Amino acid sequence: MALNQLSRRDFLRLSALGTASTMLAACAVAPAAAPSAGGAQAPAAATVNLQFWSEGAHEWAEEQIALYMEQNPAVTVEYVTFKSQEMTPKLLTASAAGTAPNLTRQDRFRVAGWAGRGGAEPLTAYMEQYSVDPSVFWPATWEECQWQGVTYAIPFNTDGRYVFWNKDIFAAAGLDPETPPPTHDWEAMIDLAVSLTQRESDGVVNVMGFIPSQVLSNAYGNGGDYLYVWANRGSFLIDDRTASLDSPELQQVLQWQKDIVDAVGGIDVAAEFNAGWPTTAGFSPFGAGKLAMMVNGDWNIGDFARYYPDLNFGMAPWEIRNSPGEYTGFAGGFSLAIPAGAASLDETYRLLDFLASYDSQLSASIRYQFIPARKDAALSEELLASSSNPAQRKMANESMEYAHFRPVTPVAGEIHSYWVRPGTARDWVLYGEKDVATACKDMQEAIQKALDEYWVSIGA
Amino acid sequence: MNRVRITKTLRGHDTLWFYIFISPWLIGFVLFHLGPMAASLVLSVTNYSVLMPTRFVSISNYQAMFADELFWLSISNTVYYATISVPLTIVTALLLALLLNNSTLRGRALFRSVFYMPSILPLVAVSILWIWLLQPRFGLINTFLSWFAIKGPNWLGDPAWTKPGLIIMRLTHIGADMVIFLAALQGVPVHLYEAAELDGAGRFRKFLHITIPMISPAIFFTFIIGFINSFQVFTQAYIMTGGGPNNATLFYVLYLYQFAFEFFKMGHASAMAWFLFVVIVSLTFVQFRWGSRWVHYGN
Repeated sequence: MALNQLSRRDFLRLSALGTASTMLAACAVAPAAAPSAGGAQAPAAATVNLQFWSEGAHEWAEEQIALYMEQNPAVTVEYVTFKSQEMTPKLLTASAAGTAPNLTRQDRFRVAGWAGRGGAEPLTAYMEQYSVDPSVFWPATWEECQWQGVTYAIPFNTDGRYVFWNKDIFAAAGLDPETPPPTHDWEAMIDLAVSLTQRESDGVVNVMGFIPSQVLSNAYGNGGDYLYVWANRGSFLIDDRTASLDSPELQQVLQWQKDIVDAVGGIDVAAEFNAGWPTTAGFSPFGAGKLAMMVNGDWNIGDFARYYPDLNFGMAPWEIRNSPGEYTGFAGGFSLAIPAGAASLDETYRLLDFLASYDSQLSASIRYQFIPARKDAALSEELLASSSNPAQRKMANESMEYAHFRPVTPVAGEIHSYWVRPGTARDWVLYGEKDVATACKDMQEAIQKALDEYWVSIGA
Repeated sequence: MNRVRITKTLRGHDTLWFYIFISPWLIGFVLFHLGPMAASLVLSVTNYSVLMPTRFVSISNYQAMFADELFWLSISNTVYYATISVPLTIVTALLLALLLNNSTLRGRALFRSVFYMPSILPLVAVSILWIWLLQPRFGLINTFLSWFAIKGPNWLGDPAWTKPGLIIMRLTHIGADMVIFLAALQGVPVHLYEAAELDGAGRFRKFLHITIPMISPAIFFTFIIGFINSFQVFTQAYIMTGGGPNNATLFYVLYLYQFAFEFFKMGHASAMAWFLFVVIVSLTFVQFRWGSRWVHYGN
């Protein structure tokens, strides 16, 4: 009996050997799968595997990929969807490892950053092969996909920014609820923000008039920080190599934003009111009747219909400063792009063509109330009829004709960070850390440095 | 001679098995820690951006890093968080462990589980929860303060209060430290207390002269690990404040992340990572030297 017993040492040795064997087995290359017995159901010999990554739009991706594979049985498409902003780090590491997907649906303003660093595949061959006509897309969406005269992405969907106002609050304040706020008159907007702000007996703000920035959070809106620059006829770059973040136009925007925040009580009051509002669709101070005006995206038409069906609101394009009736807009949104070095380009082109098609864009736009990047899909009766407010939807979609887009540059991420994100230019000014001129000067130096570094890095 | 040879053979045999046993960890460490660390040291003197050809840039990443005002701000924020949260965490966990080590406490196991529970929750989910708890008007923290006629601050919206808010949140994640202290407390020999009682020592003296020295290795361990973790604080700031307001929660690793994954500046980010590594190793070394003066290992 004693001979059959394992000593503690032997037991540990066997365990170690077992573990090592398991690890080696796990590291071994898996043998090829045995052919299926059912010959009729066996996959075609030339099966191609493609990978598609998308930021959001999970249901659309699932539906369209299934449809594509049904129509193309020789192609298998794996898709992965990510939450907003979460795809970039993973795409970066996958690219470094040489395992980037064949096709991505990514934020369009990042395309130049990828293209400029050699991370995106030029689509020249695809455009020739599939006779892509740029004029079918909204101009801003197409221009945002170009870098140095080469197309690196195909626009998929877009979204605009508009001024929203609560008609009930306007009426209660004695204003005409059907007349949009005077967005061309920035001084009048300050007065309006103050007059619409309501406080409780202890001084706490109950209804906020207007905070023209998303720096505190998206509770106050989205995209206005860019919109005002174009409304003031400003721009972020003079050319591909020269930043202009200290221009008088941008300084005036920052000053105006600070003036409004100060007029309604200052940054601490604005921060306190804003605190605790999650940035999800069902929790909006505007939807809850606590914010009189905001700049935000057209997706709110559907969100408000769903979460705040009784909300009585107006929506209009933002006017050029001192030019009543002349409008500007901001087109954001996504595009379809092929990471550099992707394999199976011909099959990927076919998938790209399928996903960028009229039907695919329309399907996603009806489902999510996007604005399709294709004009014909955006203006289709089917899409307009699917909206909870077809008139507002029509106005939003048509406004893409004159919409602007974020600067197309490899340093778009840096510009976005300095101009929009917390902790940079707007914070410096709103918290009184720097005056407007100094903030813009510092921002200009940082962006120009990033631009110079980029051009040096590519030897140009 | 034979005996010596046999002993040597056995030792050689044991050494071989020692390395076989630790090989899974060793392979993982070399592949996933040491290798990337060595690579990042090389990258820190390049302009590596993942996608573009890489060029040697000497120490310019380090120069740019030290010339960046936000770099120093991120260090200041991180040091503030670490130097306040670590001692507070240790004191709170120790007090809790002392309470829950009391054998006369009814429901002791339940309380231990309850206090440990937050430690097993995902930090992302906890962060979302704390956004609500710290809400200035309706949050539970300020509601509690209002019972004492105290107007609570705008925890996550006021730059002066954001870091204290995150430190309070950290204090609810002391389950792991508490368990370590509980284990250490139960390892203190009872006869030491009995001898002290015979000498007329009271509760406080027993705590000060017996408990603290006997559990000092546990205190030292939690101190070291706490500091290392606090210098790498990231998730809370990423989820709850995005580094704001006005950079009040721009912690070091969050800033490093921005360089790596938002600005594509992996070389710069690697330089930052190495600076952090050197700081942590230096601080740990100092703490070990300092620890030799007060940590009692029973020998």
